[in-house]
Amino acid sequence: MNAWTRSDHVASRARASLPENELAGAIQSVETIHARARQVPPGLMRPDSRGFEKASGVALPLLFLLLLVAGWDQMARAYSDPLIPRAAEIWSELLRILGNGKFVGQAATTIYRVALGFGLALAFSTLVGILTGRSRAFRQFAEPAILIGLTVPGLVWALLCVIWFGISLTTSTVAVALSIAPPLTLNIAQGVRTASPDLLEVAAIYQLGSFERLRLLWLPTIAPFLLSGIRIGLSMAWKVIVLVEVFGLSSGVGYQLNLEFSSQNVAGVLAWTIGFAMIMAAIEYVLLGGLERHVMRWRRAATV
Amino acid sequence: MTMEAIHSGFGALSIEAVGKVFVSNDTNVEALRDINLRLDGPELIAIVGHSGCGKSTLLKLIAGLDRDYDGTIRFLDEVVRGPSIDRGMIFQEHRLFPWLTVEQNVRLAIHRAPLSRAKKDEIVAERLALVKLGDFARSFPAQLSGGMAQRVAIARALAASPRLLLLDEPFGALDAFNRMAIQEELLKIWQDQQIPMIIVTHDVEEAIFLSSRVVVMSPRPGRVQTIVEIDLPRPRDRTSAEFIAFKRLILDEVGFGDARGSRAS
Repeated sequence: MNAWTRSDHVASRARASLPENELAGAIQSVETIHARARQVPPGLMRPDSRGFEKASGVALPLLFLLLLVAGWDQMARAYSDPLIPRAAEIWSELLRILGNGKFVGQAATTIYRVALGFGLALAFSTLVGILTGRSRAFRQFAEPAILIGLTVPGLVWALLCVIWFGISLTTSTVAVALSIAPPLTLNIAQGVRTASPDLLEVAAIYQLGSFERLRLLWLPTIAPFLLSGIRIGLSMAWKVIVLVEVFGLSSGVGYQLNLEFSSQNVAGVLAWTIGFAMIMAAIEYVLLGGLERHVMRWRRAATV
Repeated sequence: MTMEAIHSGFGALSIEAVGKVFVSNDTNVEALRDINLRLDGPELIAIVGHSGCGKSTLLKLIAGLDRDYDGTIRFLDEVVRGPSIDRGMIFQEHRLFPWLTVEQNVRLAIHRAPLSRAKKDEIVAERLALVKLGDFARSFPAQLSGGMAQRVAIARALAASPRLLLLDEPFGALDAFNRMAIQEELLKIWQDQQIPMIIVTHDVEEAIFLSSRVVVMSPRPGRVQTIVEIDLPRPRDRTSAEFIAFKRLILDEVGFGDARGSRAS
């Protein structure tokens, strides 16, 4: 709901229930004034601004993608090199891997591996993050681990896990978890530290149990930090899983990329990359975006 | 409005020789010294005084939010040893959970109560109706005005059926009109529900309008300077001569009598 129409809504409700008794009337008329004051003067509103925003929200990204494709195609034509395929070649390659079902199967394998590592990291980081944010001693103890973890390249984890665990699900899970746990933990710890002491006092007065505290206080407090941590984590996980699949596994998007690379099929490499990028973008926009809109809906109400 | 009383019977509060020292690195600040106060029955008392006189500190001790003090605080014949649902608290800020709706915020107070879901729903609806916010049950705090949010906080405190309500400058952040309206509303709730209340305020008029006794505290260290009985009939007229006389008396006590004194002499 638009912010301005909501103020209107508040005012009209207050008016509708006005003559209950004198006191209520007095209070509510004060609130009606408040609600009215929050409305914007009509001259400041552009009636078509929302429609325009919606259209440009679709048109501008599309424009960028069109320019990218056209620019690439111009470049490929100018070089006319087999290592720089034309846009049409990439497109037909993409259609081929999508058509024969190979892409779906391989992408599902990769996503499954990412999900396992991600779940492990999320559980671990939530626990360690809350402890780090709550306890000074624990923070001092865990800080070096987080800082070292942040600086170690994902490539190193991928190599080590392939050496230690060989061709197994453990390799991908551990490599992904090790790479994304540090930034996730750091984000969660920062979120925990933003918890309001005022609300903690309220939780103490009403003697909320630890589960209720987690559900009603801690999770909503860390939600924005958790979401940005998940975003960073997912983008890192995708890079690490490809490395693991290139080095040590015999299936998945990374393995397919490696196959196309060794046969010098650049169109194939690009097609796999584009395909997987589209999946990641869909997860980002649809899943995380939707989750964020749901979790943060109380905050949208505040931007009047 | 007809509504069954939230509880039956009322609690007695006794504060005996209570002192409080804040210890920081090398300086000790004595916040309260030898506070003695009794509250019997559903009385509404106000505590006024300069900032720094320890009035909010005292309220926190009664609430059980700070357990480190000298002397004894007894409520219903039990020594206060931590927060309890029996002693509701309302703060200057509404302290609503911003991500919960009005309804969920009120419900939070009875989360632990061994009641059925339906009974809890009923209590929440009842308390919201009491503060006339039934229509806003599904709004988020950010969608409410300051006065409405503070009334939700009152509904939340009442939901737990407290036997004592502590109010720490509850209307200090509201504008004058909202404040007067909500004072009348609080008074009505107090008369309806017969809950003893202690309100800390820096607003002398508010103290006289609401309470049967005004406790005037003096700062550094915080002590009870005097207790003024307000024997005005209710409803009280803020502009009556008797009301103004009380206002003068209390302003004199807190040390703001000079302006009037110079004119009188």
